[in-house]
Amino acid sequence: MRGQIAFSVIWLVSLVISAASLYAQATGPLRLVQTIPMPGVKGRLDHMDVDVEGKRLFVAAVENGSMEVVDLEGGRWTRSIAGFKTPTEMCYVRELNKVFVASRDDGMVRIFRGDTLDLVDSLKLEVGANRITYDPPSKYLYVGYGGKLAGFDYGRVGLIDARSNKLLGDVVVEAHPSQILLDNPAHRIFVAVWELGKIDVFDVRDRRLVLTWTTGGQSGDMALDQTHRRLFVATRNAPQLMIVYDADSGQEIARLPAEGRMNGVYYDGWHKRIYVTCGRELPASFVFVYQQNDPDHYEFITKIATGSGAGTSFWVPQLNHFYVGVPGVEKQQAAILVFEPQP
Amino acid sequence: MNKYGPIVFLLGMSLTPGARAQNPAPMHLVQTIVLPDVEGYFDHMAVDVKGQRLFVPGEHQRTIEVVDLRIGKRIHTITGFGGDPRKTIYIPETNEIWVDDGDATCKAFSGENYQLVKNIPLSGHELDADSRRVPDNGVYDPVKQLFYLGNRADGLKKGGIQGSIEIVDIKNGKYLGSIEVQGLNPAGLVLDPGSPRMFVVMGDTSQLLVIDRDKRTVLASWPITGGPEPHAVAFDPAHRRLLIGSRVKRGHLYKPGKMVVMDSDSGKVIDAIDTEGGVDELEYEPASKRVYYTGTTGFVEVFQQIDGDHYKSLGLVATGPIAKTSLFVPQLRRFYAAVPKHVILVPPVPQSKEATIIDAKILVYDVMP
Repeated sequence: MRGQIAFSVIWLVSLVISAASLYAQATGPLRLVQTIPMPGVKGRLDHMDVDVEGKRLFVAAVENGSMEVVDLEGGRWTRSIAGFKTPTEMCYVRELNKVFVASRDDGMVRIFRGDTLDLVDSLKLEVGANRITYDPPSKYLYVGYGGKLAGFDYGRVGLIDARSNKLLGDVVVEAHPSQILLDNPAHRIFVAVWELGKIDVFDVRDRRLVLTWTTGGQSGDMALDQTHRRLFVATRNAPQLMIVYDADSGQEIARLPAEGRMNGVYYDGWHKRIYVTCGRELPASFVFVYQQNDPDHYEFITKIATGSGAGTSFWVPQLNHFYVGVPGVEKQQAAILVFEPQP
Repeated sequence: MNKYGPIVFLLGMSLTPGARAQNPAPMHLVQTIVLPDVEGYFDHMAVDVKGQRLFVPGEHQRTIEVVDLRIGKRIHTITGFGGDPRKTIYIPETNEIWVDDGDATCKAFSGENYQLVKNIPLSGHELDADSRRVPDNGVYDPVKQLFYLGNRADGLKKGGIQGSIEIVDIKNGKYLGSIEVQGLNPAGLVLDPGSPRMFVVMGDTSQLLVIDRDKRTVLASWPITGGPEPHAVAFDPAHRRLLIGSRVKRGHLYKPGKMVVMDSDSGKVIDAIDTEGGVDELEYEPASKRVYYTGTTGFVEVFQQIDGDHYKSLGLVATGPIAKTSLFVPQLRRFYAAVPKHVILVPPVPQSKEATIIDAKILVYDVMP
């Protein structure tokens, strides 16, 4: 009798598991819930940021030279602010009511009022201004810039006081930095040095390099799982991989397949998934989705087609949405794809 | 004053907030790189911007300490000097570190493995240590790739020998000759990039020498009125101004010192401004029009040039006791000051046995725009 019950439980459990997996296959880990067109926005889209409370998405239209504003509640593209030279990223800081926009080719950071989006200030860095990250406790912005584009053998991560809009100093990096991730409790920043395929870890208190390792490919973007101290790095060129590292030692934990020209890596702590958008300037683009089974074990679940040339994306846990920027190229209309993770 | 007097005095100074400090500070400390076991004075540093290395001559213990600025640690110590190494330069094109050596040579080390690659005798190298002049400060001409070294005669037991400027061809690794000067201590040198002129301040005679470096002749000698013991000099070509760092009395600790502003065409002294004592380094940055005046009395004073004739203090930045040399690297917007190992004693001295020993260190500052 006891054996029969045990068998029934196992049977029931396996039935539930297969049903769940069938459901997952049917719907996928990400469901496209909305497509927000941005007609007239030409060329590649770069990085994004969100105003969670105001339900606004800011998108750097790098080739269009504009900042695009999307109303996420109404699902409408509402505004295009022109006048940038290759804008690469924006950073919305609600507590200061500011949006900071970095532009690569003129090395500027322009500062807008967060609510009205009126230009209020600007700061000249150097050519190559790229990613911006805001650190709420210190109210500092970290901005990557410099490097070969600016005519230097080295890059910089500038520390900007987000209150005064003044440059306070730099962390000197071996080459042009791409993504900058904050690791607040440890007073550290992770800097992806894509040209050299490196990840550099700096102590922000004294700007000292405390850890560095090479990834074997152009390490452009990354995401941090703060809970499990895991860093996810995707490489832009061969070997095209999503590599999992121990964030404290740099030791490799796992490596999984990806595809070319990736430009966005995000960790979804709710669903224990990693999203990697691949295909910048390629005919076909995808979101690669990986499952974190435990901190040391990962599997590739699926890849989801997004369009042509869509490399950048943005995960907003507060809204439970994953946004992919589809460029306006040839007959394809620029758009923001809104994905919702499925259980 | 007993031997620890100056140190105790300095400690007192360093605990006093800069009386003239104004906000915002022109630079702020971001990192401290400790150099344990390095004893004695440091001298003139050089930087490898691309490789993020700082070369710090430990003149007293006759080493060059190689510091990796990324990780903030010493990675190598260059040894093998016959005298005191004092003025380092780094040549990015060849990845070489050049330095004068107190045994009357100029040496080059590989920036890759730090091995000695050149050892060039200067004038008088063949003489005994009591009779030969000693190179100290220097200046590099990157266009002609010539290294000019101020050769001192003030420490010689024999009289009647004057100082000289030694010329080393970095490109071909050859000694080119010397320019004889009136006076014993050519202490600070600077080049006019727009002409063959070189300016040399004489620490013992209080004269500024104008030298034609092509013809290797002294063109003029101007008195540095109000700055009796000049040790450092910078040149502002736009305003035709020489900024001269002078000590007022012998040694490193008398304060105030002077910053003498001189017209570089006429030799006219425009001003002599009170500032830190024991100056050993003075740098002018044309882009920001700022002057970094490094005294040995515990502070760097930063001046803003209003125009050629007027300078406003932006404040005193604390360094450390006997931190006489520094390096401003405009490309990195960083300023490095070398603080030697020192002892802190609480008065009354020397009855106190409770001496605190502070290791040598490099202080790293972000220079504010």
